[in-house]
Amino acid sequence: MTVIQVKYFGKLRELLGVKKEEYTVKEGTTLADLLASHIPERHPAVSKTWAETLFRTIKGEMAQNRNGIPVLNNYLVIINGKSAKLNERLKEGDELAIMPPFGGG
Amino acid sequence: MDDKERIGDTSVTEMKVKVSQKLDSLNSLIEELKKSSDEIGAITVFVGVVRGTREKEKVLRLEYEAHETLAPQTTEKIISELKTKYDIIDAIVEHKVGTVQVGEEVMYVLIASKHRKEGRLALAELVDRVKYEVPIWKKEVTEKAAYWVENP
Repeated sequence: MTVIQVKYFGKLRELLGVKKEEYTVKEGTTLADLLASHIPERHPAVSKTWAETLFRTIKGEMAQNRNGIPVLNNYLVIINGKSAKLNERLKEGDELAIMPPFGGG
Repeated sequence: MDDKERIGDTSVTEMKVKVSQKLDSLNSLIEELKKSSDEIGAITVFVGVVRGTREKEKVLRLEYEAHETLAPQTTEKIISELKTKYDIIDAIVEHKVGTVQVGEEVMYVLIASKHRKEGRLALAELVDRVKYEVPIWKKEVTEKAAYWVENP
């Protein structure tokens, strides 16, 4: 099993009501699996809003690219300080930051 | 803000970027820049202020948050790119986080350059890039509702 840390910011932190969480996932779990399954499963009351906020949806269904991977809205996921792709596999000790579009200034 | 104490560790050089609950005084920042080089002939300054209206709604306050380590790191990187692009001497960015009231100053951006022209160009680009590239978020609380504002 793989243990990772996830941080949420702005709108997402408010939606989930938590700033930081730990997840234990099976080896080989991808970032897409975490975002589309593990996180919404832990937060069932807001899972629909979560999916619609984070992912591009068509008539309420998550849109997918030709490889069957969901497509993010203008959201950015950083793993250990670097921008991550959705098909990336999570590794033990990874630190994730899930970031909405920016609004500084 | 559990990583707050790490902010100071993100730069190997002098810290010219600050994301915190309090801004330093503008005069002290100008003085700091002037001390850094005797080649400086212009200091160009942008001051961001919390606006009191949103599409005719009265704004009560703004609430800002930032990624505690990435926000300063990203800003430092942008500054170092602009130093090369415009041949400016130095820059400072300070951005407030937490609750900011209407009329309060929320961001200072200062550029020190030899001449005014490159200072103005670098200032315009740095202000825009802080808004679009630096992980900072704001919630606008009006009389009627609260909105997470996304820079267009």
